[in-house]
Amino acid sequence: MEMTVEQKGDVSVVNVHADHLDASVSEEFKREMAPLLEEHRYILLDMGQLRFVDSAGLGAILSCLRKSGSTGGDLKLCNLAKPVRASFEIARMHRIMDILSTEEDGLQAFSR
Amino acid sequence: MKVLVADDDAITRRMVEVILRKWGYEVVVADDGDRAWQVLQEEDSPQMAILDWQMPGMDGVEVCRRLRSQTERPYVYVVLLTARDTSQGLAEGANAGADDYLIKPFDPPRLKMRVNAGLRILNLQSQLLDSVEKYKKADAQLELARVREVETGAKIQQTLLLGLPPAGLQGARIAAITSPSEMIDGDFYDFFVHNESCFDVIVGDVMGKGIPGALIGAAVKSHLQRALSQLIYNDRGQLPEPEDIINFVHKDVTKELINLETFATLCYARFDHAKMKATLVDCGHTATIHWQPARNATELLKGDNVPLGFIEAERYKQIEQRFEPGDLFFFYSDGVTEAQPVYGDMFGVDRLRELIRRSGRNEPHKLIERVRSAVIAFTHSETFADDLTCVAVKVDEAPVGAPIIHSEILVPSELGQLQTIRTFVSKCIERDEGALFDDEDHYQLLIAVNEAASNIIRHAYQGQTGESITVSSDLFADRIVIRLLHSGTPFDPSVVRAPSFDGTRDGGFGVYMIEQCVDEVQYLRAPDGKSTIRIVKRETIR
Repeated sequence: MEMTVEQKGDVSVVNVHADHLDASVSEEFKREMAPLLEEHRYILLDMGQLRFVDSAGLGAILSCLRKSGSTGGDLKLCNLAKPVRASFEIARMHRIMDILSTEEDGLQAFSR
Repeated sequence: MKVLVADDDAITRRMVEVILRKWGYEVVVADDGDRAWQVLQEEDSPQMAILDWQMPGMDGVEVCRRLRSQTERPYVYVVLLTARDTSQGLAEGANAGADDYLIKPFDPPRLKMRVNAGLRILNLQSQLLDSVEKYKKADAQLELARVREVETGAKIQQTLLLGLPPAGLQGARIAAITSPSEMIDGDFYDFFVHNESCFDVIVGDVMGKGIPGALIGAAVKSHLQRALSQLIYNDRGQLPEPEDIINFVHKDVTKELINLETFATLCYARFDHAKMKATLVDCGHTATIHWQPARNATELLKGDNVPLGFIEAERYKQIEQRFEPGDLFFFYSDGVTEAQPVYGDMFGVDRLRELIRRSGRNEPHKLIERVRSAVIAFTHSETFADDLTCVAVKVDEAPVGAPIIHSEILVPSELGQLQTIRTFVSKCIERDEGALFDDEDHYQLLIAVNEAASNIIRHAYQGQTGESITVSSDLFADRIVIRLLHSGTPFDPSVVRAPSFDGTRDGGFGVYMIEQCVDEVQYLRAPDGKSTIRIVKRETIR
């Protein structure tokens, strides 16, 4: 799973280049994210390319959020396609995650 | 009692010390203000202080002022010794918080008067503190009793007041919920199934809150059961009419209810699928809503009887209503229609009718959830002033016949195949020209099938590859049925821990998400050892 990082001020915007984040790739996602979470304090995860996220994918994102929080950092999400957002809502995870509609909103949310 | 005597004049100090000891007091002495302050800060410090006004270091007034600023420490009764008898001086002492004063030189009787007065005040104060403490304890116990009452009430409601909607009926599907208000009240419902095609629904509401309300509700319910069995016995096995049951109960309970100064509203409804007829007795309950999709209209069913417990002479009469396949009956407590935001009108029966007319095609549990959400949105509040009780009875639609399209695939048990399975499900739906599902429902179905397959691969097969899963799809005019067949360990959803929504755990979301996304999910096991997860999603009308 390819991920690219773009530094925007204090915030590192991480682009997930994948069509889906399901149980077949959730472990890989966690592995790829681990070094990024250590290097970057504030991460904005751009999920714009994803079209499907299942419970394993949600679990992987949740574990990243916890890891980031435990080191004093923060992780926010942006650019979710409508169905992907539905996954978060079905599992009621939108309540514990900061989900912003655009990258710009995401960056602004960090500066607050 | 311990008394502090602080004076830099050794003679006065000694004199007071000796006198007080003679009177039975424990005495601590200090020869300047700083030492006096130190003594007063120690543990088990004196409760009374006789302080010379003028001392080296802190003077008596300053010691007093500092004592009064320590509100969290026990009160110290302060007597100032002064050589100047001026009102200005006295005012300064009083402002610093001194309780009394004594002008030097003084004789023992004067000292005794001052000390006795202090002792009396200290005693009174300690009695007062004791009673306050007692009141606080009593108050805490009362609060605990109140909390227990609410808990007991909730338990009564769950166990005695609310029947379980019968599942697996032929010809109808039923759903029921109650969202209790902060105070328990006596909303109740129950279901009597007589045979495959005939069952009764009872929905009631007792006037009065708390445990009394709940107990009366439970009593009315048990009277209904007794009436039913007694009348069946009297009539040699014949099923009594709803109005006979209610009149029997009325005879038993109305007098009691009048004595208790309470009443119960109730709707007793019988559904007979052989005759496609509902028979209702309305005891002053909210009007039942009958939604008829064929006419796209709702009708309010209302009798003209009063609640149970109003008038002893009342004769209860039943009303009859024909129904068609696909019709829906909606029973509710006034907590729904009388829900009200802080400022504004009540939710009202018209709003409820319109909501049911628009959403009636949904499964009963979904419809109820919509009503609940609508009430929450309307009142801007997740807590209710009154219990919110809804029961929906949906008459089965006319049979839709054989599936239009059947398809199936066989995939190896690998997580990499989840994508293949999702593509398969999407293709099955896309072959339907009538477009059963919109994008949102389509995605929900994908989630459900994906989670079911993922559970089979990860848990039933425990990650073993080389096994396989058969996924089949049957598309009907109004629903899709997906079956996932496997030969791994049967999956038991009841052992899965509920997900934690606060983010403290990653797992447990799969089973929960399946239930949220589809109308039915069953975990079946065939005698040959193979297991099936069967998922049904019905057409949703938005």
